[in-house]
Amino acid sequence: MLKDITIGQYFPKDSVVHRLDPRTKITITFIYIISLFLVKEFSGYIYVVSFVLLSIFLSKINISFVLRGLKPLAIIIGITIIINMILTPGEVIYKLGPLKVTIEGLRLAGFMALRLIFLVVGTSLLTLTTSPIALTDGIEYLVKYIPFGKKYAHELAMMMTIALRFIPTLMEETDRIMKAQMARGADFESGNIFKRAKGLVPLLVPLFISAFRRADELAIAMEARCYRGGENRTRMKELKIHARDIFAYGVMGILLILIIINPYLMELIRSA
Amino acid sequence: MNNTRSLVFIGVLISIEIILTRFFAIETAIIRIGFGFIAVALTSILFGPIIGGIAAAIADVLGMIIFPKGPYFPGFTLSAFLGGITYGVFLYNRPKSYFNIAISVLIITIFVNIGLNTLWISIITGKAYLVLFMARIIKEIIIFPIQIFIIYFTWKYMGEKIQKKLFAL
Repeated sequence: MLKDITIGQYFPKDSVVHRLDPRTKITITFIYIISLFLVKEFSGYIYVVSFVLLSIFLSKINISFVLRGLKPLAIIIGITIIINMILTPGEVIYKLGPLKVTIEGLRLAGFMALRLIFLVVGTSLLTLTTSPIALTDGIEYLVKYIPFGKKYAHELAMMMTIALRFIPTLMEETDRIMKAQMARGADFESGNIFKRAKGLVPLLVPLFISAFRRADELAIAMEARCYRGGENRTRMKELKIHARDIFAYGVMGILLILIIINPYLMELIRSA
Repeated sequence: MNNTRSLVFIGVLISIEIILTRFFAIETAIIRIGFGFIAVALTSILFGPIIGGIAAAIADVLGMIIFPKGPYFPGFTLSAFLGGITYGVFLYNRPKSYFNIAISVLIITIFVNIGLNTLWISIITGKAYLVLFMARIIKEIIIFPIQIFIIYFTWKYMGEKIQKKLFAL
């Protein structure tokens, strides 16, 4: 049941993308998301495709792994295509009763579907090439640059690390409680939504109580070892920016510039 | 308040939120009814609006990192943050009455879940939000009373005990 679920989708490989600093990867993913929304015409996706393919190639990850992230979104992508296709006014190319498929609709449907696909692929690449702990580390460093962030960066990272550490334990615990309650006749999988929500109570109460007991034990253990927050605390592994990170920022910068100037470039090509 | 203790409790509440959102969800093709709100509400009630908001935002980011189920969009992290803040504003150091819980859930439902989240979906999927919007409205109507009762009973049966334990030292 819950035990079979994989935590994270990190795929360890020895590649230049894997070796990039997590801060670089997080920042680049954010700029990538922003740049996706700056694409105004289909031609702009050429740069995005090139960037994504280059990243996949450099990461040595099988493309099918990256595309697997699209599976849960198949229905949403389908709805996006169909609705944009039939609800956009314009030149009608196919009519079925009141439903009209327009050229503009087809264009918009393709455009939106591609954006959604690239959004998933881009964020998947981040989680495929960076372990959750490295991502937490990266977030801790990045939070320091946010106003008032420096003071709380360590606390935030510690909360994230504790949360990450507790997820497998609590999932196992949940599985155990679930089996115990099912042995007593509890039913978690049938009935309407209200019945199923009500059925969760015998699961939630022991889960919370056991989680807080574990939290209490951890807090005592930390205090016993003189944990006192991030002040003057040093790190065993310091994150360092290497030449490859600067190169990655450069590639991302080029992508962003190309996407911004693409409409003007296309205008020039059309007028030539 | 003991800082280490609070830090650990918030971390544990974040992991409970992730588990409840990702694995205790009643899923259909378009909508997913998760139960992460219980942990968000509890965090905000115990630690106040700001920490509640931050914990909810962290849970959103961590949930995306470890159990990705779709694209990451920062707008949803903002929605999570605002949801946590709203619970805190109405329930932190205030009576956890049906009325206060209902007001906080109503505000989150209208402004965050129906308003902001629909805006994010329209940005991501274009006109498809029209179909998704209807599904979301139905989901929100169904889950609205469930949320109120679950938060009320969770607090009634466990909250006060947890609060005593947490702030005892």
